[in-house]
Amino acid sequence: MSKSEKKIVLKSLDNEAFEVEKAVALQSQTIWVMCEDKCVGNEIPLENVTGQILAKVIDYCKKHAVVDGDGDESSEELKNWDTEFTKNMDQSTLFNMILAANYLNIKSLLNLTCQAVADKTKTIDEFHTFLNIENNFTPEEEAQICQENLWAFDD
Amino acid sequence: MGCDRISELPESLLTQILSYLPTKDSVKTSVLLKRWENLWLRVPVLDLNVSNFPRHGKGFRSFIENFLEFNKKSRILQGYIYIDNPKFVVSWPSLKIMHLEQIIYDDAPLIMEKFISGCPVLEDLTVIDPQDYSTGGLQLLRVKSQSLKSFRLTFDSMIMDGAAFAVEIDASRLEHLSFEDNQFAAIAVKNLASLFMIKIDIEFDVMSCNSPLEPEDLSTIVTIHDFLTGISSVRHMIISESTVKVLYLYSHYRPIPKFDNLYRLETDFSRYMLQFLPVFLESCPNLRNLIVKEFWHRVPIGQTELTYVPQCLVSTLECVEIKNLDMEEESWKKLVRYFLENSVVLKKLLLRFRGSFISNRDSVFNELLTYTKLSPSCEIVIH
Repeated sequence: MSKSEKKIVLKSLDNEAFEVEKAVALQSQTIWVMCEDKCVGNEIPLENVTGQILAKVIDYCKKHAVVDGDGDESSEELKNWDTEFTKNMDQSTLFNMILAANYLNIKSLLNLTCQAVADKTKTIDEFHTFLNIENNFTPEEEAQICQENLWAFDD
Repeated sequence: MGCDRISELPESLLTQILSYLPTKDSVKTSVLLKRWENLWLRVPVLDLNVSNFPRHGKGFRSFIENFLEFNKKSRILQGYIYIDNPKFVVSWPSLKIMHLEQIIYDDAPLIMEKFISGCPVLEDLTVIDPQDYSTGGLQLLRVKSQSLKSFRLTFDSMIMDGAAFAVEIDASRLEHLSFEDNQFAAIAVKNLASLFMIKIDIEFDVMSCNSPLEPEDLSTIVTIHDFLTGISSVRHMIISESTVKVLYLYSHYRPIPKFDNLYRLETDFSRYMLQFLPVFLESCPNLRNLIVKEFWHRVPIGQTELTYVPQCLVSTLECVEIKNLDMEEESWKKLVRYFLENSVVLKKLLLRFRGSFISNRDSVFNELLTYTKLSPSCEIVIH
């Protein structure tokens, strides 16, 4: 394989180009299928992902491509890296990451980002704040729903 | 950004997010928004703690039944469960993953069998801290399944009164098996030809008695023999130091059976059992990767000589990793020399030292270079 074949260019929705190792990009099942089909050249347009998000996705894929799977330290280190990676993401970035991971079909990244949202929303109030949504039930409707599953609401 | 981004997510992603919450919390999301009212019912995971339900009454059980009735595709059940009704019926035809923590059963000795036989497509079963109050003596857990691919049994807390635990496994499609504690007295395995990976930390009641295995302990010797023979098709083994000790004692009476498929072995080896290492490796004629996770001990290594060269060193062993080495003392060098001088096809020797700062790294490396290498292309890496 020549050097140029090992690299691949990913182009974001806002026309930002990222040159990455093929092994890094192929963690995305979507890109893998595109490459298999051979209907794209060395440049792959990703119409649903902005450059800002794609840069983060590539960071994740680079980190997860290098580890050879040997030894406990490396998997432990990887876990810590994952935690740090999502720790300070705001809700908008996290949701864009979820959509990107879903579109690019990177299962481990999708799991990580969904888990991160769940971790940030342990209580109903946190849900309302973090997700930035307003309740659209009447108090009567809300009471009715609570009554149906009282055990879950009794604290 | 003041808008509700979450509404942009499709339902499958919303339920995936909720699947990381305990069911109690995902039920609460029913009052977030109208769209969310029934979303929690479509989450493929049930994660329950029985103590959240009223102590008496059918609340817990009927909740599970209703949920599974609505969500026939539910794949995962996890939780702390207390079963007090021997007539409890389990029929969850699509459940694939079951994670039971601190399941307590009383007056219903066959409840675990019911759980397993009621789930005909169950693939992944984890049982943590099962407690059987119905019998005074031996506690028995029987796992018989045609669908199970992974089984993990762990004890987090000590069993009272030193009660022993017996396990019987008959699972022809089982690929992953893990025993993460050592309170088992008896283990019987059957039909484990698909076994790929095993993680074992079992003492077979040998170590707790604090007496070495005696010739009179025939039943224990037979149990160990049958167990080892039953798992002999395994390809990847992770074995604890205490289990290695038991095998060491066992090897005085019977030979360790051959693990012909084993290509990766991860183990802890105390230095005082060093002479057992070649014996154990002789049972792994096709081993390619060896990882010794722990190699340090206060007792000096003494005069143990490593001379015997097992088959895998001659023909298959390609990668050896030794962790937790102590730079301050010298005995690890004996082990390293042994592998370098006797391994014909070794490609990589990886040494990890304790502590992050290695002061005399260069001198250690230079010394390693003076050792004879039977495999000229072997690369030595120090961490």
